[in-house]
This record gives sequence, C-alpha cells and structure tokens, in this order.
Amino acid sequence: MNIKKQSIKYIVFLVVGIVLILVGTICQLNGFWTGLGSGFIAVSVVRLVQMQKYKTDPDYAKQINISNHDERQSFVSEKAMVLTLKMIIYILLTSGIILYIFDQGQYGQFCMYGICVIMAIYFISSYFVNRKY
Amino acid sequence: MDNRIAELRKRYQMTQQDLADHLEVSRQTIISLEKGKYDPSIGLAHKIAVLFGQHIEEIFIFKEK
Repeated sequence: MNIKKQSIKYIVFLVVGIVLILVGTICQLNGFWTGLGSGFIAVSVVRLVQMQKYKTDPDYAKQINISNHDERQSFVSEKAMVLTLKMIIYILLTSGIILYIFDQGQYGQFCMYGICVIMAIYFISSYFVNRKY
Repeated sequence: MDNRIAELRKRYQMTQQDLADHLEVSRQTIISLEKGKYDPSIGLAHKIAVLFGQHIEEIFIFKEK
C-alpha cells in the first residue's frame, strides 16, 4: 500500500466533502450535494484512521499486506466480479423483456442499451488485456 | 489437483498459521489449498516446494479431468 499517495487522495476527498457541504448549505442546493459531501467525509475519515493505524501498528500492517496480496483473495474477488457482471446482464435482459411484454418499451430499451454498453466495455477491455498478456 | 501440503506441514510440525506466515498468505488460503479447493499459482507452488525442500511435482499431484 502506497500510504503517502493514498493519504493525499483521501485528504483531497475530505476537502471535497467539506466544500460540497459548505456550498450545499450556503447556496441552499438540494440535499444531494450535502449528502454526497457527507459520504466523502465519512469514507475519507475512516480510510485516514485506517492508514494511521497501518503506520503505527506493525501487526495490523502485516495483516493488511497479506490480505491485499493474498492470491486466493484476488482470485475470489475476480470470480465474484465476473459473476456479478453476468448476473447484471441477465437481470437487465430479463427486465428488458418483461418491460416490453408489459408495454413499457421505453424502459425496456434502456435495459437493452445497458447490456450493449456493458458488452462494448467488455470488448474494449478484452482487447487491451489481450494485448498486455 | 491433489497435494501433500497437509502431510508435509504436519511432518514439519507447523500450524496452518505458521505456514501462512512463511508463505505470506492468509490462513484461509492454506485451508483451501489443503482441502484441494484452490490450486495455487506457479509462484506460490514454487514457494511451497522451496519451503519443504521438494520438487513441485512431488507436492502437487496433477490429475486429468
């Protein structure tokens, strides 16, 4: 884990979160922006605390390093990602067909476009991965 | 693929956690390897072979599916 880069990233997220809340409150924007800002702050604070613990607690650092580099963990994560993508495609396909049947073609078309976008991204990714390996 | 990891680990009087620490993997990985549920990468197989002073093919028994 590159602690310095990660810390800078989460400090930037923290500042963005604070700015979003301030702008959202001062300019009286809708709740979306303050909600987004709160999310940024919460994630940043948790990650910064974890990184501080990583720097000061060698046992915790070792545990994190192992879990980040554990090959079975990576394998499980990749498998789960592939399965998730397949499920999303099947859900979109089923939803699209059901929506067409119930005369909601506009929404059904949206689902089908979703599948097309996923497939396009897949072909582009596989092209680059294929070139790399 | 079958393997002799559990047998060798016991011979060397190591716990699963000891072996995991030596190989810098999680204990769950050792459990899965011993049960034959997960096949290791060539890098990890090499590390295991070096640790137990054996050849890879002496530890991992390849079976045609």
